[in-house]
Amino acid sequence: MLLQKKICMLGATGVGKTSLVRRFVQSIYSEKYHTTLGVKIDKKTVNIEENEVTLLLWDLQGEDGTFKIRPAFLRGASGYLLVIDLTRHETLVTAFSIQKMVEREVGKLPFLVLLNKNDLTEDFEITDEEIVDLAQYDWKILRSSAKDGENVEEAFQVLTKEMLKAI
Amino acid sequence: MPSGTLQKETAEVSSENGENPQFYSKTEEILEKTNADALSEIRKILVQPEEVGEVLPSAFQKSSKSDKKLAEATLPIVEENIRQSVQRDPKILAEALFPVIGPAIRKAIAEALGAMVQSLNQTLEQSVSPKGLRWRIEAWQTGKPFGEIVMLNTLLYRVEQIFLIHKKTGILLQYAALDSEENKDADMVSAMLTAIQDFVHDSFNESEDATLDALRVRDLSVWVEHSPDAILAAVIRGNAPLTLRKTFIEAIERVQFQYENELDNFRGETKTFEPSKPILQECLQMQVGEEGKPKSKIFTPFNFLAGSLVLLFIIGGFFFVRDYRRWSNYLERLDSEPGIVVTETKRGFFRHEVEGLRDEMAVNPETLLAEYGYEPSNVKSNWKGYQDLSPQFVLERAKKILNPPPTAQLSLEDGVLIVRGTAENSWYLEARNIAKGMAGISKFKVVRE
Repeated sequence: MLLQKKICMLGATGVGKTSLVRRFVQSIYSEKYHTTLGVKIDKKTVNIEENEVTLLLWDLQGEDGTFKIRPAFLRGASGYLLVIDLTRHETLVTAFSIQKMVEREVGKLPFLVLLNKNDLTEDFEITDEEIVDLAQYDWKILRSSAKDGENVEEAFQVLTKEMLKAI
Repeated sequence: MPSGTLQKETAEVSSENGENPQFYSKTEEILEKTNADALSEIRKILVQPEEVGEVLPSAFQKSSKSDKKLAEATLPIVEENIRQSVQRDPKILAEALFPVIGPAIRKAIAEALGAMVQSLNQTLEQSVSPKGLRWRIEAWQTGKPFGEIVMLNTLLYRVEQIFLIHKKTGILLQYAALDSEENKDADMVSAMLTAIQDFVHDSFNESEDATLDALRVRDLSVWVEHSPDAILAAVIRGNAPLTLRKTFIEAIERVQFQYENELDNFRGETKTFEPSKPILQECLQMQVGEEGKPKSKIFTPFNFLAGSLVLLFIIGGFFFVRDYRRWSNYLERLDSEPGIVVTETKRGFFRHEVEGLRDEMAVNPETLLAEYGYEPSNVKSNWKGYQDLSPQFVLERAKKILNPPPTAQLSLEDGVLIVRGTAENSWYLEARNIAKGMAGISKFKVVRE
């Protein structure tokens, strides 16, 4: 079956959302759209069993002290990737607030947490204990690295499976 | 049947023994009676053929005026009726259509021939006119086919692409394009259009029902029409009339009507919307023609510059041709003048040059310049002296050098200088000596009278 799904890439500024997808997706728009429009659209096709799922990736500008995600961009999404930078503790805090905001604006959606920059082990600010603690929220978590390509394809596969389950 | 009666009868039966077979037959009797009465009542109220017959025509009329929903709904029934009629007896439909088909065929042939003649006229016009030449240069410069350049230059508007977008998700449901090669990234474009729409909403705090109607970049514009669950975005090149919006609105309404459930329960299966493609293709309209182009376009800076250059070229050309003819005539005149031999000429932009040989007895070339519109300063002349040996010049030269008295006349016959009349002997002697040394004179002869 051919399906199309909208998914969002969310996270604090500089967590590596765009780097994560850059090597793995088809794109026609430049990254300047992040600063102008607040979003950049990419495309990624994933095959899950007999389903060919085209993911329309809404790569949203990272949230920080001055910029907030536009809730309108979340409307109609089937799921999202929530990216955290392991080398910056504050991105974990931002991830919590973003996740709450998404639930408030569009309800519960399948999502996957990506603990990014996993290759920079010496710079980690988020401890293993904190990661273990995340289990209590029933979040699905994957460690990833844009530099090595670690778990990037897998992330799309896992999220797509979750979204197909939710249909 | 009044409900009070039914309750009373049911109560009577209930008071009897429930195991009794009489109970069941009585119950059935009551139910049958009840159903029959109730149905009769309903029929009386609702199914009066006369009343329905009165209401139906006006209902059809009103519905067809407001939208096409009734036509859409009854289409399958009408199609099936026609199919069955043809299956049963094709003659009936053929006879009914006969008065229509004949004129329709004649009209179609006339239109086809007319279009062919018009096309031929356009081709001839475009091939040989300056406009056609300009377009050929444009085609050569841009590397586009000539046909495409002609199309773009004569275009009023062209709906190039139609996107049918799911409003909530921004996912492309269906797509149609005028060119056979489809936009492979249409799904990303569709999502971006939705993002732009959301961005505008957020940025200007517009209400949900306020929608983005159009985007415009130079001669390319995107018109957007909305239904409750879908968006139709049309990419248009040129200046389209606002009446075109009606076409788009009707199209999106038809899609919304036909796919209401699918749009409402959309889960990403875009294949469901493939049958809607013909509706989108109906929106791919275009209009060509020079007449509708805004007149102000004639006075663009480019046209002004091009016009100035052409004018300059024409004026320059006029002066060039005029000067060319003057100079040629002047040289022809010099060639025809006795005692002048032109050996070299040079035609310059502002000043010409001429070189050659000139007998001192010949006409002065500079005195001829004015006849041809030149000032002496326009022509640099370089004449070297020589003696022309034609009889006319030899005689003239002899007269000038020998200076005969009025009583003596000189003539030249076959190189012989003949003196007639009378003169002093001393003159004869001196003249004989001089004449012997003159070019063109072989003998000196005196004829005394």
